[in-house]
Amino acid sequence: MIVVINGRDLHARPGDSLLDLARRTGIDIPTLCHHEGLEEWGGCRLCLVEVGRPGGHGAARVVPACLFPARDGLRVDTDTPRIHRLRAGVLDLLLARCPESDTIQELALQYGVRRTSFVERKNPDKCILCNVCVRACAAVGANAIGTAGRGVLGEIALPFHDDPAACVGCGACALSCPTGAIEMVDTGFTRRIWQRDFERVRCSACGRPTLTRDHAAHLAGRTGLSAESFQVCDRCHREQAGARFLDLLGK
Amino acid sequence: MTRALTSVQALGAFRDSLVARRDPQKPAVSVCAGTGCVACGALKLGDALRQEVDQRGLGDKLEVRINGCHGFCERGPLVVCHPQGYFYQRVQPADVADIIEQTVLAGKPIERLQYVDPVAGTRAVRQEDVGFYKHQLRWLLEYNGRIDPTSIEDYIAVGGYRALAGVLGGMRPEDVIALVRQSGLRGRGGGGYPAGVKWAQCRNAPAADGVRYIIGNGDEGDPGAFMDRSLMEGNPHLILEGMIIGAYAIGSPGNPVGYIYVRNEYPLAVERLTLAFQQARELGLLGRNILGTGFDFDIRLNRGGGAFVCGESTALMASIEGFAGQPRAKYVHTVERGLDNKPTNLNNVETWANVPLIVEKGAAAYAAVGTGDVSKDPWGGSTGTKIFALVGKVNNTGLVEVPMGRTLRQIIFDIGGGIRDGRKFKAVQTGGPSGGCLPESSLDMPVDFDHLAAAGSMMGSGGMIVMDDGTCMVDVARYFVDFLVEESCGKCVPCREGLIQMSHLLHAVVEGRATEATLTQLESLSEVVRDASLCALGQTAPNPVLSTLLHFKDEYLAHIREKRCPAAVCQALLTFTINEKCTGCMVCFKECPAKAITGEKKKLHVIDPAKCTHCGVCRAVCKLDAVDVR
Repeated sequence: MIVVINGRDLHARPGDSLLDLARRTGIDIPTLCHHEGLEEWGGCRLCLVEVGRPGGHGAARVVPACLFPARDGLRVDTDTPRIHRLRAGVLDLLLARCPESDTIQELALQYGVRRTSFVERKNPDKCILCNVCVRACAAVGANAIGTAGRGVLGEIALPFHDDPAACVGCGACALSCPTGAIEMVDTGFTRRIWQRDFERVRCSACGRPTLTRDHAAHLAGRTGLSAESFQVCDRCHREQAGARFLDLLGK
Repeated sequence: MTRALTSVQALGAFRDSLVARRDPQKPAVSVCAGTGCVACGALKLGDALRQEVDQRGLGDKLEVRINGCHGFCERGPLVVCHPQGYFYQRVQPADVADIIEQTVLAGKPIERLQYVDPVAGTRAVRQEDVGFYKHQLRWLLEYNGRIDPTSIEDYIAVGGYRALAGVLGGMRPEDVIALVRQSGLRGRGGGGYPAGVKWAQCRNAPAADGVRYIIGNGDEGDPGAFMDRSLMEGNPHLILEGMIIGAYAIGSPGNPVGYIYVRNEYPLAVERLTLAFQQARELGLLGRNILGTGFDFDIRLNRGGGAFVCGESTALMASIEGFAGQPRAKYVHTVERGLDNKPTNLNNVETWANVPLIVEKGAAAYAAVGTGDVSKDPWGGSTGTKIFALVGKVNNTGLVEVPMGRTLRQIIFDIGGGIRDGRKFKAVQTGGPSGGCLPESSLDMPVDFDHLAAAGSMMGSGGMIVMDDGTCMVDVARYFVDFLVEESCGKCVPCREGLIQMSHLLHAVVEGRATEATLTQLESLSEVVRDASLCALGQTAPNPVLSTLLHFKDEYLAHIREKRCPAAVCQALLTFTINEKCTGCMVCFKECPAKAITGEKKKLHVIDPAKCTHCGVCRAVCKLDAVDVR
């Protein structure tokens, strides 16, 4: 399956989106709501590209690369003046929403937008409502956060804005957020996130703080392994696994 | 209730027995109980009629029928007396005794309840004499005024479920799809996608577990639109029959269940449809082994939670699945992967209601009405009829069904009776909040899918809002954009953030804070919202702005350059002055909340423009018309 991106013939694999193919072949397409580990969302509209009409005649149409499947013979342009204009327009809007986000500022600058031409939001935070955090939380299996409200009044929130009971303190939301909009503070063996303090487990090997006790219990429940299996931090876990592997090889 | 019908022939025999039992000459009084008439007191009228009938002991001589919407909402409550067909309008409970005595018992019409044409001055005896009805072609709405929507027997007696029996009794699914394709039926929800093409795609989509879903979209949300509502409330079995035929044609042996999605703000539609499903199940027309043919299909009703965007097909499917009503990209079509990732065929309820008619009339007779030629290309024209909700500054507001291709002028002037209060036509907005505003020069354009789209508007689901010269087009654009700001689901950035910024820009224009650069920015932002949004809500949201900028740019410029609203609507730009009719009565002086009026008793008052907040109270309280607004 050959897809022509910016005039280059590229080999696509079955199931590839245009974004998958472009990223693999070193073609830069900006994204904000895309995350490797999560299902595509298609909401930030930064990865818009132009694709030719099937058969090659008629005006090209604008589609998001993250959701558009690679098809044999498809012609794709990722950086036309129209695409540049649309991305700049979207970033101009995002800058009005989140004027203080350095992620947005840097991206906008790449498209020639230094200051927003629109009305800035009052009391802005850094959240662009890309839903990466909500999807990450669902992938973890906690489903502790979701969107409350609709449209421009929507926000990422706990149920009824104040119930963090389902949160396991894993931090997936904060770590995956493209703009750093979710606050997570680790102090010693305490993690504060979503209005709640979590106790972090002491790594049984090195003694440093590792995942939260609730997260360990959650993982034990999901995997059927014992809670003790999750009392080793990532680094020590890798070291131990490496040592076992060397043992097996008899070295 | 009658026992289940176990064969196609049994349905025919059942119909014959129903017809034989009914005397077409038996007097009947039909009361319209559509939403408009109910608001005017139709239910009270119905109660009064029944009470009168009981008191006089006429129970077995006269039937009182409560129908769905008859259409002529402007003149409700409406009543039709059978067998003569006398048409009465604005009927009140006080008229009941006369109706029984003079019309039912003596067979005479009552002149004071008849409709008088405001222009010609002629009196209409029957419905077909009324200009509003005369120019319509009521295929879908034909039985709305004749049957009781809560009675499946009424529906069967007028030929209901005959199309289904014909299909199950002798047509292959492929033949049904070919028939719908040849009829040229296109999606009535607004998209205008040929139904036969969609059905074929869904039927041919691989379904490993044999599951394909059928969905009826009754989530009508456009302000001022009530076409689907009137069908669901007035003739629910017509929609149901269409869906069963569709299910047979498309085929879902793995899980023969369909859905109908109705907004919860239509409680009567929910009630009527639920009852219709139950009646159809009892008669063996829905559920297992329909009419003994071995074909299974059932329908579940899903209620929408009040989100406009759930009328969008993918958002609707997400909502049925239990997720928030947010659209998904359709690069893999829903006919291949829709509800629960199964092949799904979604049509608007009006589209489904057309299906039994096509089977009964045949594709050629159906396609003979409308525009274009669909014999070779299903996109080649627009066939059949379309129901419009004709509202706004028009004399005859109501529900209108016309052949595709009637001009806007015919709909607004011949049927709608022209503009209210002798004012001048200015624009008509078609297609709901995402449609466009068309000016007077478009009045002779035929109304069909392709002409409306080419003119920068759209068919939408069939809303038609008429505006007169007292309407400010900038304010109209602002109204629709503000509506969509609230209804945007927020999933994609251009729609969510773009619409609120469009709203800011439009507010600047109507409040006199804009410059000509505002319009340039509005145009470039419209392009971003149109081209970059995820679903049709955002992609079409700039239509009201772009179409008013195209046809009414001078109004925008008057707001900007002269700080003046030509239609005297935009409050911030109004200037209030007191003319020589003022007698110095002091009423406005006392009522002005800004204390902007000075004057003494019996002396001309003066408004201080620096203090005036343009609230209009002075103009409202003045009995002498002495306050001018400009």
